Amino acid sequence: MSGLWIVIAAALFSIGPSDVPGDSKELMGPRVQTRRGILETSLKRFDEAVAFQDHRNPQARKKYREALDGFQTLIRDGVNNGHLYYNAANAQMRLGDIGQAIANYRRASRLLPNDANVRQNLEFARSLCEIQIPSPAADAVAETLFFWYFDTAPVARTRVALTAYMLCWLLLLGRLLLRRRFPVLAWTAMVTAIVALAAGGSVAWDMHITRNRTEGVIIADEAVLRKGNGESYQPQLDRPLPQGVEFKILEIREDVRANVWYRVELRDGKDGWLRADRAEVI
Amino acid sequence: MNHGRSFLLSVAMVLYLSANASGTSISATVSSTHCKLDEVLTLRVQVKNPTQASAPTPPATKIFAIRLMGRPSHSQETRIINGRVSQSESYVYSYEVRPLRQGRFKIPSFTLKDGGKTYRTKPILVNIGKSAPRKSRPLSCEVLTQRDTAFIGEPVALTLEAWVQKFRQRETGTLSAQTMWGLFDQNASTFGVFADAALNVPTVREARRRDNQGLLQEYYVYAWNITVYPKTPGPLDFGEIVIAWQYPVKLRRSLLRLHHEKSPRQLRISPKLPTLEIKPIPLADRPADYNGAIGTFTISTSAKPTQAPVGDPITLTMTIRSDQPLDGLRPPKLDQVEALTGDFEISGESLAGELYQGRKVFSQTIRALREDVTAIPSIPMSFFNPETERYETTWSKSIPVKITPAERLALANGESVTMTPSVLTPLVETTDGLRANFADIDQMLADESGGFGTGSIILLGIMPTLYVVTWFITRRSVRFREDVALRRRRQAHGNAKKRLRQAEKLGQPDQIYGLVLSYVADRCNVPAAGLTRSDAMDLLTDRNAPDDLRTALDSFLESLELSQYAGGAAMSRNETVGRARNFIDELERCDLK
Repeated sequence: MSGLWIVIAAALFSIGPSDVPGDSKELMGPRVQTRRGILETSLKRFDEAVAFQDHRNPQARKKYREALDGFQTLIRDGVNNGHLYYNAANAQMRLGDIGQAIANYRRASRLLPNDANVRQNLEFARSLCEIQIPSPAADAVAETLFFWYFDTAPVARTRVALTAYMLCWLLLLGRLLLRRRFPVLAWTAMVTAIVALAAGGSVAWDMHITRNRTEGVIIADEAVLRKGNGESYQPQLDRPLPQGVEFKILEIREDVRANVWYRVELRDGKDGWLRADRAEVI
Repeated sequence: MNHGRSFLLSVAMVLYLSANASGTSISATVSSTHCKLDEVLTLRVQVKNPTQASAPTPPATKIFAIRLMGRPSHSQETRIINGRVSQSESYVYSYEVRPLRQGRFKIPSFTLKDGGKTYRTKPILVNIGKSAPRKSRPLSCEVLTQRDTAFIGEPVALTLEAWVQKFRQRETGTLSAQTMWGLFDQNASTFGVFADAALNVPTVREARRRDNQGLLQEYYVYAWNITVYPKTPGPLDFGEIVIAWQYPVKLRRSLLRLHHEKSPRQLRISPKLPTLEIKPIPLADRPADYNGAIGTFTISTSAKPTQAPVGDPITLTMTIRSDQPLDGLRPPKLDQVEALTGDFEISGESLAGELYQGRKVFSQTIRALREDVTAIPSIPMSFFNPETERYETTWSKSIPVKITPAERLALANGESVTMTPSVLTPLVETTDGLRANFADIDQMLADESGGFGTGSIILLGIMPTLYVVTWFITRRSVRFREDVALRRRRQAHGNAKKRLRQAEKLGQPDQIYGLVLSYVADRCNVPAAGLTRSDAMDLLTDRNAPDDLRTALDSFLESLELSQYAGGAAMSRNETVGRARNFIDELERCDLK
């Protein structure tokens, strides 16, 4: 009897997130082929544009634009991939759209937190922002304490959560089936349960953040931060904010003309209201 | 004599005709015998049956500027007449002939040397009229600039404008700017200093101006804009600029296209050039750190990291902003900044800089020389301001840094040495510039968002369900194992049946007797050994076994005792086994608790 349960458990153990029916590539065969074609063309256009050396050349800009259109088509089609966001951001950097590039680098870093290329390009993009706002110390503390969250990709944490979860239940089953009591099984099961809770909780938190997006970046050349949600309110700062400035969204409201406004908080704690069409939500 | 002369003449004619029927010849035709000074003529020279394809030589003349246009057209012809095959080929060379003077002149002969002979075209007489006043011409152009002086290296904005009079015709209406642009002759035009800008489509606007007769004329103005950086003093050399246009004379429309019903006018015009004097930048009062920048600039700096050991690299990023073009801007001369070189070592790398809208970014690696260094000093940016005609310097803000002691190496002899840059010079990565794209297509098409899909949710549910089911099963078996009474009760019937089967084969009445009593002992959880019939009956009475069943069992057991001990009438083995089985089955159905 116990042997039968172990066999069933082993079969279930072999199921991972990528093996779940409905996500297999075979079901999406023709669609994958079309996406592949778009991606190949976009990468080629980007390389052709780079060959011009001067990225302000009109022909180079045209090719960067074509490459970006291809990457964005795939993103709109539902491909949620860190490397894709990274490449799209590179094209936007070449076109001078620093704000949108930062938004895409942020999306890429969420999916690839350990990628050095993403990190460096994001830092470089931020260095080009005309206003440099340093990160508060609290962010640095949180990043140190929860390094396992900030340094691992959501896919990896999902796999860890599911594996720890299954291992925990298998250990509990083992305790049930074995005649002799082994305390180590109970302790190990507890540890795996904690790991599964932590990893699974972090994945659930990622899903919550993605669903309720609360961060953004300014993409317009200039955006005026106002004291209220309307153009008639006075500016909050002595000058407009340039593209590339990042913020947290605290509230969303419309004005009398049905324009959407965000109440935002900048990294240094200053807050104000920003027109939604001046920014992009990450 | 007359007959002889006639004969010789005929022979000569025959020879001449036969020679020319398949021999080399050259001829020239011109597009028009009348043109104006701002127009060009197209002259076509046809060479038939050359031994080798070489272009005729244009004549040397001061009246016309002659230029070969493109490659010749080539044709071959084969004729079969009365069975005789003859072949001929011809080359047509097109020349642009631009008159330089007004009057009646002959276009001199073109010559061709072929097969050891020289062939010439006939001169062509053309009338060259004076061109219309500039403001009344259908095509005019000019070069514009906002200034009349500039300094060497200073960016100067220039605009080349081509004014093309709108063409109107009753049948076709007014041609659009795009249609007029289609008549621009790119191949015949030269752009001089505007050569790079000519690769792009110009901007176009509509404009009006009065001609020499005071009539308001409408134009399309095509403009090319460039910025030049003069390199030599003196008047700016604009190069040779000639704008060529095929201006329509009469058009007709067929379906969706327009055709020239009459040959268009081949207009050529050179622009009126402004006077732009280039002055050298003064040497007096030039700062030591001046790097050739002309205009007005601001500089800002940042450093990463701001805390480092002595000798470790720090990336100093300098951002220079200006409303002037920054393409050719060189980085600030940091080696001329004493406050910086006194505290930091500057690497000798040459900096190309990255150009973005309105700013240029340079990155330089510097290393602190001592622990007591507390700041990266302000960095100057000197430039020549052409408006004030003086050198000016702008400064960045200083950056506080924290320099910690350098790491020390322990040597084998017990001494230690500081790891200074002169001992170890590690390679340093620059932090500016973009890293390359990611190119693994399969990996880029994979979904990396994580999260719990349908399969994961199923898995999350299956495991606890498995556990619960297993728990129930194991609990039941543990209980069964530990509860003796329960185990005896559950196994009593099976054991009794098994023994009955054995007894059926070999059994003696005492076996059946003991088997039944054992069954009762198992059901009641009492020791089987020493259990008597009366004990069994008492047990059954205590456990509320039905009276009739108990009585019948008692009789059955008594009969077995009698047959065993008192020699009473014995039942057959089968009957004994059958009755015992029935009693056991009936007792099994009773709840003996």
